Order: sequence, then C-alpha cells, then structure tokens
Amino acid sequence: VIRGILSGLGAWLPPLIVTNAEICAGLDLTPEWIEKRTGIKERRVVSGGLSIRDLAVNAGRKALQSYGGSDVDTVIVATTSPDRLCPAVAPEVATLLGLSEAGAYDINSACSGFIYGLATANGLITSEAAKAVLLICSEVFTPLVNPADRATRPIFGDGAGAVILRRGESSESGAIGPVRLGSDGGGADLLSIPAGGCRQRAATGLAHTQLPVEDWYLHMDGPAIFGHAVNRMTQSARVVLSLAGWSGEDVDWFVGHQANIRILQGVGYELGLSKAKIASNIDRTGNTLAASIPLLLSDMAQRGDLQPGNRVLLGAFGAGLSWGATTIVWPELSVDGLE
Amino acid sequence: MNVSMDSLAEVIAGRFNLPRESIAAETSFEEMGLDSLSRIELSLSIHKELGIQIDDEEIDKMATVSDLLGFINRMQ
Repeated sequence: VIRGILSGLGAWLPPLIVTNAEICAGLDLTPEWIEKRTGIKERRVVSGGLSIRDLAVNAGRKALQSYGGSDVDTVIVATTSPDRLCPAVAPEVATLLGLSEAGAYDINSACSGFIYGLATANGLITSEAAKAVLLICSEVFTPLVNPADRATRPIFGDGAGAVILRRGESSESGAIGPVRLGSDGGGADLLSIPAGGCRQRAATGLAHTQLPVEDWYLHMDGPAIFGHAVNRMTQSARVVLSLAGWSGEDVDWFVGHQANIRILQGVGYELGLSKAKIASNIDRTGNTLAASIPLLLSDMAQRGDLQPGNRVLLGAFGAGLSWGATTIVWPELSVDGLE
Repeated sequence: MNVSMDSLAEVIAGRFNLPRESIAAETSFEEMGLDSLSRIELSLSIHKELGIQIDDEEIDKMATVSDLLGFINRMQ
C-alpha cells in the first residue's frame, strides 16, 4: 500500500532566549509558578524583524539537508501566525528554498497543524497528486499574545520545524500510520483571536483601527481547554493505537503537542504510559503551536533519544477546537541541531 | 448508589500518588498540594474511575474532600 514515508526532518529556533524571570516583570507571577503550572522555564522569541517566512526557510533548508535531495513537488506551511491575510506564505518559502514551481499553500489548524499537515501530505502522496511533500510548521505567535495577560503571556514561544514525506510502501520504517483527526467548532471561542478577519468587521461595521486593542490578541479559557485537551488527545490516541495494533506498552515515545507538561502527563496517565515515555522539551521552547512536534522530534533525533525502530505515538490538540493523532515507526534519519 | 469516602479517597490517592491514610473527609485540597489544574485532573479521574462528570467550575469552588463527596452524592 502506498504511504508517505518520513524521509527528512529539521527545525530552527530563533536565538533570543526569554526566561520566566523576564516574563514575570510587571505581571503578578513568579518563575516557579509558571514552571509548576506549565513546565516552561524559558522560550525563544524572534528579534530583528524575523517572521514565519524566515523561520520556515531555515527549518525547511534543514529538512532538505536531512532528506539529501531537492525533488520536492509540494510545499505546505502550517501556521497560526501568518505573515499576512493574503497571500499564503508557502509560495514565497518554496521560492526561497529553490523549489519555485512546487505546489504551495498554507493550512491553519492551530496547535494541531502538524498532525493535520501530515495527514494532508500523506493524502497527496497516496492519491498520487504529489511525489514528495515538504511540510513546514512555522510560528511567530508571540506578537499575538497580550503582554498584560498573565494567563497567556508565559506560555508561547516562536520556532519552526519541518518534515519531508516521500512516496513509499506502508511496510517501510517512517510510513505514516493510521491517522485520526477531529474537531468541535462549539469550542471555537475558547481559544481565539477575534480581530483581523472579516466576520467582526462585517458584524460591527467598524474599521480595523476602531476595533478594541484586546481583540487583536489571543483570548484563552485555560481551565476549559485543559480538560478538553486531555480528553480529546486521549480519545484519538486510543483509536490510532488500536488501528496500529499497538498497546500502551508497545509505545516507546509519546510525542504530543507541547502546550503544557501537565496536559501531556494527563494524557499519559489516561493511556497508562510511564512518565519516561512522555517526550518533552517545553521547558526550553514554551508552546510553539503547530511547530512544537517537529521541533521536539528534531531535538530528540539529534540527541539520539529517538532510535530507528522506535514506536512513536504522535498527538495534538488546539484551537478550533481541533485534534489529531497518528503513529510512526522511527526511520533512519540524519538530523541537525535546532540552532 | 452513593459513592463512599473510601472509593473517593482511593481515586485521589491513586491519581496523585498520595498515601491513602493521609486523606480524610476534612483534608483540604491545599493540604494535599493540589492546585486548580490538579482539580481538573481529579475531575477527569473521577469521570474515568467512577463514571461521574463534574464541571470544572464546580470543582474549583470546593475546598475539602468532604465538599467533593457531598457534591458527588447530591448529583446521584
């Protein structure tokens, strides 16, 4: 059976580190409180005018190096922090990577963007619409976080991660396993940025400049999101584990979206996974939305934590609400560091 | 059927790796070191283990194990 095979991986973090102590200045928070509630100690933040295009190009270049070729015919950028409303950034990224005639488009599935992107890339390959797909998850979300909001300000960081899927057989290592995607639009307002699109302008008749400042920033109902995240990630993980014929004991690593270490531990608890199997680098990256999973995979592969043959469960949850999960048997890959 | 103090204490002890004997009816969540996220974690475990769904906002208002037990049994 034809499948997309993971054949390239790369990630890039901007160099500027912002610690919890720096975040706490002016907010009624302590560094210890942030770490206990989220697992985050520091995050990377862009400087010098970098945008998702620049981060995407850096991560994409590393994925192409890891792949060892340039025969990529489709580029997908998953992002929640687009450079502009129109056009998509993917064509520009493709051109800057020397893939100027590739099909290129953006998707927005927020923090589930990597899983949705993998499903999309895998679908293009299995339907023979593409031979090799570069999926780049790039996020510069920190400008969309209200600097005065103690609930969201500590959480987010910037970064990008990328993978290349090529056409192959489902029996190969690196083949995308069973995928389960889900959504619940009834929770759309639990995580949202109201301004910037067209609905609010149409409803109010106001120009963008007249909209309330706070509507340009992320609104988040953290406690409600926490429960949904644990439940939905657990539910979709159970489905793909069953379809893959794996038990919890078969899983070597659970690599979940890095939103909050306690969400990941909650999912691990529900699935009966030992804490040692729950992968995380959120202490150094914060929540990088769609980018978090490929960033973590790169980090783990480069450190040697991920070994060929390891059985990996991938899962994510985010705004939408949206969620998804899949499995992969880790292939041989050469992966560079995150800098 | 009412939930007993014993069953609820077992769920709490199991979820947070606490000694069973440290949990009495009047023990507060604060004494057990449970913050507001822990209460959501506990409500998920109560749903899984006892089949009872508690609103996050409701559990956030409770201070002790006895408050939680009373609420659960009023729901039955």
